[in-house]
Amino acid sequence: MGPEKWTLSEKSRTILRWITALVLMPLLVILGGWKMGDRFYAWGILGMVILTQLLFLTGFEKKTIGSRRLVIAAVLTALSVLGRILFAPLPGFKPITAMVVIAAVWISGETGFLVGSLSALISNFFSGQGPWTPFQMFAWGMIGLIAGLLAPRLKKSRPALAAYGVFAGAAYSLFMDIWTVLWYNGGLSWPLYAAAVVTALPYMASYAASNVIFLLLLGRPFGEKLERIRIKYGV
Amino acid sequence: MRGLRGRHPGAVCVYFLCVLLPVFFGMNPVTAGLGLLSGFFLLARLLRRLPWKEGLGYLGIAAFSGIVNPLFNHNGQTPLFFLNRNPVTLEALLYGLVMGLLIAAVLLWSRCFMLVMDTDRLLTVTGLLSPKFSLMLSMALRFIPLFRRQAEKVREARKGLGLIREDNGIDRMKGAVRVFDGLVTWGLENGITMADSMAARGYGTGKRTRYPLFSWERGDSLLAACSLGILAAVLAAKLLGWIGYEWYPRLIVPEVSLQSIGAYGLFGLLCFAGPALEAAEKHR
Repeated sequence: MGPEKWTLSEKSRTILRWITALVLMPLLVILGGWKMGDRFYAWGILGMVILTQLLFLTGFEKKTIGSRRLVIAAVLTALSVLGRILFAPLPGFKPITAMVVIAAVWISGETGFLVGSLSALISNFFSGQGPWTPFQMFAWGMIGLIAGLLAPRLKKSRPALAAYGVFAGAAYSLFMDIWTVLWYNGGLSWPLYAAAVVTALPYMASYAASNVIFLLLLGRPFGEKLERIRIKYGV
Repeated sequence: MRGLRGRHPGAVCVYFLCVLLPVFFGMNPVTAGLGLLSGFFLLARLLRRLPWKEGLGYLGIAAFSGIVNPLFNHNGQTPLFFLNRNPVTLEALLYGLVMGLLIAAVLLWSRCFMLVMDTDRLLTVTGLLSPKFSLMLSMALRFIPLFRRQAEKVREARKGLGLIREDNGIDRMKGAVRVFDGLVTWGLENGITMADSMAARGYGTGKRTRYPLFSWERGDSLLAACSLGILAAVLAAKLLGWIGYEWYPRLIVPEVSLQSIGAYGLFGLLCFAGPALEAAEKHR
């Protein structure tokens, strides 16, 4: 094998990270605000979301994550994507959010973020990639991260878990509606956003309902399994 | 000459990004049109047929956007007619149409991106940024067919024992949950074994060995550099106001000048470089 470049060196990765944080992000804000005026929101938000992913990816390499946690996160991702196929006969019922929340609560918020954004990326291999992929990765990642912050409460009470399921479904739907409006309009328009939210209400309801059902059904048993793995093998 | 699939995925990503950004951010009928047309040709080269059906679908999206925008957006000072006392303006109609063209162009290019970048190529690109993330992605992708097979086994076993009823929705749901439950236990245990075997073979102790599927060559540098250069030129033209459209309250079309023609020409060159490379590809 010759000296082909197969990955960036740690140094160039650090440089890329600094450029993203100190040059690209401020540039986006300044240029966007200056030249695009009120249409800035659409592209500004999209650009920011993409740059955040870049920042996360280049920073991820530096993190020391044990091989066990790495594999477990991959397993949970595969399970959450597969759940979508397994429960396909029941339309609208997707366990991805529930799996993300379970991973976040019973392992860690960071794992939840990873499982969420990886699941979004991978499940779009089946349903189509596009500019919305970073948005979904961000949304599901954040659902995981926030669940991780609330972990002690969510672990203890089932009503809290169910409430978080409703919140996650609604938040996901509202967040993706922002994207829909930006995508169709190029700027944020309140009447259009209201229309999008109203059209998406049935989806929102089905997200929330399936999240609650899956969290109540799977939360305890899967949580105990993860807990056991975590204690027994020190993940 | 090599087509896009013969080039390094990193360079291909840079190329797609440099085409998509001006189309997406431009709000400009010329760049959107160039993007749409070149995307159509690229898709035709990739599918090896003329994608009329897809093309019509994308144009339908453009038309839909043209109709919807003026219903919600009442900016602009040239009312065509009034609906529920709200003016439906010419500016909003044109804006919606251009927005639709732009969305169609982005969808077309996303489709082409999916066709060019298979998982091997995607893993190469994420590997450039973070080999660890790439490893996780690749493991998860491998687990999916494995787990699917295992889920089928669990289901068959339960069926053989007579434990699965599929009379109604609730029974089916219960059955699926049971199968999923078994799958999770199995998957987690399996994952631990795998992590241990990784550790036993020295994962994380030192440098990795690698198996690069793609190598970066001079042509890749050329492609990436040209793409970035043209992107910079188009961005400069936009910032200097040579190709900026204003939509509200009144449509202001920028003057046709040498500079704007130059910027559009360069961008057109970039857009059609993809289909041209694909067309010039020599089969070995």
